[in-house]
Order: sequence, then C-alpha cells, then structure tokens
Amino acid sequence: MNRARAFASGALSVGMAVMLGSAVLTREFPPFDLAVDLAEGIPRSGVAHPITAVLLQFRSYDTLLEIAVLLVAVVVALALRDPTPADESSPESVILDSVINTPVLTSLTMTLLPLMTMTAVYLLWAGAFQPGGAFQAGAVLAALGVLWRVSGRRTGPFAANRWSHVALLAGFAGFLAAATTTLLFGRPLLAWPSSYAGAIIVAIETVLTVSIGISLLGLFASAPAPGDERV
Amino acid sequence: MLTMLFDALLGLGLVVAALGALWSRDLFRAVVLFIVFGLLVALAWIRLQAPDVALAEAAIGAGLTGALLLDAIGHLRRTPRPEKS
Repeated sequence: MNRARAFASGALSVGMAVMLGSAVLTREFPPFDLAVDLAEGIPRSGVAHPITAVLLQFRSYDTLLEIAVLLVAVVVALALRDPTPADESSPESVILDSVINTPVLTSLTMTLLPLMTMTAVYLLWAGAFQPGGAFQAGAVLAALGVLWRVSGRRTGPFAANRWSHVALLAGFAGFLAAATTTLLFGRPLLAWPSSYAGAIIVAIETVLTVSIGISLLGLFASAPAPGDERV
Repeated sequence: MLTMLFDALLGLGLVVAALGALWSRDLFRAVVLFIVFGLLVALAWIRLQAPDVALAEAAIGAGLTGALLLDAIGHLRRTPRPEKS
C-alpha cells in the first residue's frame, strides 16, 4: 500500500516535471513587447515608477479585485473569531497568554514605533517613483501592530471597534468610489484623466495602506487565543 | 565571478532552508527556517532585479507569515495533544 502510494506520487511528480519542462522549452514569445508599451505609457500614467503605474493605472482592475479578496478574507476571519473575550468591558480578562511581558520587548516596541511609522510613510511616498507602495507600507504598519499587540497592548490599533472596521473598509470603498466616479464623467471604469492621475493614485494608495495594514493585523489578531480548545 | 558565486550560494541556501523547513521535526525550528527561506527568497528577487517583489516578500512572506506561524506554534503547545486512536 505504502509502496504503491510512493510509486504513484513519484510518477505524478515526474510527469509534472516533464510537462513543466516542455512548457518552458516550447513556449512562444508574444508578438508584442510589453516593456516597450509600458515605457511609452509611463508619461501619461501620472507616476514615474513602472510597477506602480501597472498596479494602479494600467492594470488597476486587478488591484481593485485583490483588495476585495483581502477584505473578504479578513471579514471571514473576523466572523470566525471567538466572540467571548470582551475587548473593552473587562480589561483583566483579556490579557492574553501570548503576551510577552519583558522590558526588552516593551522598550523595543516603543523605540520602533516612530521608526516603523516613518518607514511606512516613506515606502508609501516612494512608491510613486521607486520600489515601494501601498502593500509594502501596509505590511510595515501591520508588523508594527503585531509587535504592539504581542507586547501586551491589547486595545491598541486593533480593538474590535467601529473605527477599525471603518479603516478596514476604507481602502476598498475609496478605491471603488474612485473607480466608479469616472463613469459619471462619461469615461470608462478606472480611467482617470491623466492630469489628475498622480493625485488620485496617491490618495488611493494612502487609504489602501491603512486598510492593508489593518487587514493583515486583523488576520493576526483574529487567530484563536492560546488555550482555546474549541477549534 | 563573485556574483555567480553569490548566486550559487544563494540558490544552495534556498534549497537547504526549504528542505530544513519541510523536514524538521521541531516545529519551532521549521518556522525559523521558513522565515530564513523567506528572507533568502527576498534576496533572490533582488538579484532578479525585482525589488518591489522583494519588499513584499520580506514583509509579508517572511515577517507576517512567520509571526502567524509562531503564534500557531504557541497555540499548539498550550493545547494538550489529542490521543491517537
């Protein structure tokens, strides 16, 4: 039985490797050069960095859907989370076992707080002309939130209150609003005029940063508390 | 020459870290190796001249996923292991 299974999985792996190899060897190159098209489109995209131009201008529909997927994932995670620990009513009962209460972590968190905030803002701002952008800045914010949370500040950036839900929604809602506003002016979806494109992209990236940060932190925060055996 | 040596070492390190993460018996060691793997992948993305992907990989792949996995280990350690039937 075990040998048959090993043989089957081995055969599958070899077959997969052969298929992948032949796909790589016999691939056909498209008759157009996307890099050239992109380089020509940069001046009317509103930003100087090609990756940001692709993410928020030329293929912004994909990014919009990505944000929607992330939002759905966080909403599901929040819905599945254990509702019993009251976040604000009884501060004593919410002290998690996972809290690491050492002076090193506490002071490190306090030292890193301004530095990481500044890094996130810088990454967001840098996205317009060099590597960076909303996802990276949001991830730094989320990492800051994780540190904050692990060092025992439970009711910090991700208490389950109305404001965190607003911040969670703001990215997708703002992006969708910006995407559909163009329809009012008789333009296609997401086709913002190139004279405003830069400002619109920066505005979208700013709300996206906050929302992505809160979303990623929300995924971390909605993990079951240690010792919870009902999972 | 030096860059080729670096790339070869990087590729070797990737495979070693991946195998270590997959085959380690100790879960904590597996997670640490996974984080190492994520950071090496970020380096590889930089070598492939994709710094955007490298940033995202380091922040999300290595950082946040690592934190989540460590959290999961803490959770597993505190719950008694169910008896095998």
